[in-house]
Amino acid sequence: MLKKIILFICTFMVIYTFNFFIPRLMPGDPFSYTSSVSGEDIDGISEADLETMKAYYGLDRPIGEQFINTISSNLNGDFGQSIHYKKSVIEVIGERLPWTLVIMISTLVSSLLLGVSLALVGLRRKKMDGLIYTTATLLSEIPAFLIGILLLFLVAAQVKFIPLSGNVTPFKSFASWPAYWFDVFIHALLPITAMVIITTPIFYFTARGSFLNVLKKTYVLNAKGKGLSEKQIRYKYIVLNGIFPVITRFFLSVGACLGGTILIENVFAYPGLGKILQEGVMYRDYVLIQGVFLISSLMVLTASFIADLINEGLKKTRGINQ
Amino acid sequence: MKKPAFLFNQRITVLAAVLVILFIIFAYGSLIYPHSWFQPSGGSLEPPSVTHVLGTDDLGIDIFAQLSRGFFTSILIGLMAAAIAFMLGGVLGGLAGYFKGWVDESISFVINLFLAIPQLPIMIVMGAFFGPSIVNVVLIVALFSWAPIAKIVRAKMVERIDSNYIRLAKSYGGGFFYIVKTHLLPDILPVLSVNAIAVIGKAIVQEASLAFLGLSDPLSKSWGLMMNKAINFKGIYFMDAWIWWLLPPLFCLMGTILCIRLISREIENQLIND
Repeated sequence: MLKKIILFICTFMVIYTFNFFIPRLMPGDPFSYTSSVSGEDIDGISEADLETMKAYYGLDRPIGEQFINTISSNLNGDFGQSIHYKKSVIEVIGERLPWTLVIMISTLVSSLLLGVSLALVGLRRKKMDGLIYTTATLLSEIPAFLIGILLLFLVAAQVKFIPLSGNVTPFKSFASWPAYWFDVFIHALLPITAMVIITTPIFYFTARGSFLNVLKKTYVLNAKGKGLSEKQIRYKYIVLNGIFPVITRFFLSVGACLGGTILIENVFAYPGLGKILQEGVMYRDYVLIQGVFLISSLMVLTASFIADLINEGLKKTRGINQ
Repeated sequence: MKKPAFLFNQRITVLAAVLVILFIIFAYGSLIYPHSWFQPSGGSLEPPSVTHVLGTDDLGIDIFAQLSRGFFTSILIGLMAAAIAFMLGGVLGGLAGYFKGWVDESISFVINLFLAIPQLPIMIVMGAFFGPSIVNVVLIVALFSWAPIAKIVRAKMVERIDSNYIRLAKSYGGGFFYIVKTHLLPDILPVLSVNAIAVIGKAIVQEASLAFLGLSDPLSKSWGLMMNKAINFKGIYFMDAWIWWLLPPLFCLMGTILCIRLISREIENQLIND
């Protein structure tokens, strides 16, 4: 357990340090970029001006001091100013993060439910199971953004009431809350569908493997011997005992899901973290890129840490038998 | 020596045949096909015709020529990234499994660290800071593909290293290189290769993802870049151009990835069965 905590802290520290040093390792420096018209040689900026600029941004101090200053300002919630949006990075992320979470959480929850149900269907009907297994194998290898593009052109561009992009209809005032929520829903529908299509196989495989494992246990045989009905065995024994790997998988999938969401947001121009990440890249808004990277890493690391906690807890309660 | 059984597996043969056919088609496209992949050779957004098999894009560049070029870009990136990941993963995983103790502890720690870092965000960050070029993309993809391989190799090594025949070989004074070469490599190489093949597929996906976000070399045509250009073209939704501009790279990408990943899966199943 201690090992996991150390790994969690170390990983975050490595990411943090990396995030701090990467702009300093990058070829070129921002001042030559800001002081020249793109592509031209710089002759307008004097040594003295350069010194003033460096002093203004605190870049003339020793690297260790810069590092400590960055940590202390980050701890105070200051992640710098976004160059493109002319707002503080934390503000920009605050506006966009909820939309990413909308997609990620709905994707993970619906994929989990769908995956587990498919696995249960497969338990009852062997032929169906083979079909589902093959389809899931094929789908699990395809990246979500390709499915997203297909949906965009085959569904959104053809069906009138499904919008092509965005999160809500711009400049529209909604009569009631349900109307607003419906608008949000219909905008998120296709991105979530694309994500669910490729995330469901992950949960299906985990649930299937886990359920089949439970089926082999002697207590299931015992339950059958007692004359319990199929239904009781299925829900009380198999699902209850086999669900924990699926829940762990839920938290472990956050990383992959985040990656998929970043891309799918760019397919549907959905204004979440992925979209600002791409915009940050396009407008060379390095401060914003770093902020988004830190927040998203923290999210993924925390999720996998929770998965570890669940696993540890399970090992303890179940003892050596498990 | 008997031939490995997976050479006779029907499914693998079919999948490999698909790849070979794609290779031949695209080799024709880049070597014999008359149109250039970077210079306009027709009008803007021409539909497929006899002269332009798959039509042209907004700049009048032939789509099929671009597609052929993209295939080799993708495969090359996949192969190079997989080769680096193969070496790194094999060597580090092998060392960790063989020596145990602090070597194992520290290498395992690095492996777990790389497994924990969310991949796409860090790849975007590195791509953004180090600039889009093929070499950078290969290095970035390789850097985040070796850890799973190393983990598997390490596990396999740990499982083997305690067996009696290795102990016997060690007690006879067999050195590190001798034991690895004669006793461990034959066991580990198949696992290592299967995972390296899987990395080819993954690398192609990741390059396409980065290119789709505008983070790959803008000068080398890749399928991700083609899709990026097509989907960002204004008015693409209101005309038919997406059928010959967007769909071909999309389906080629899907097909290639599926073939490679399924081949590695099939071989893996074979290995488990044997």
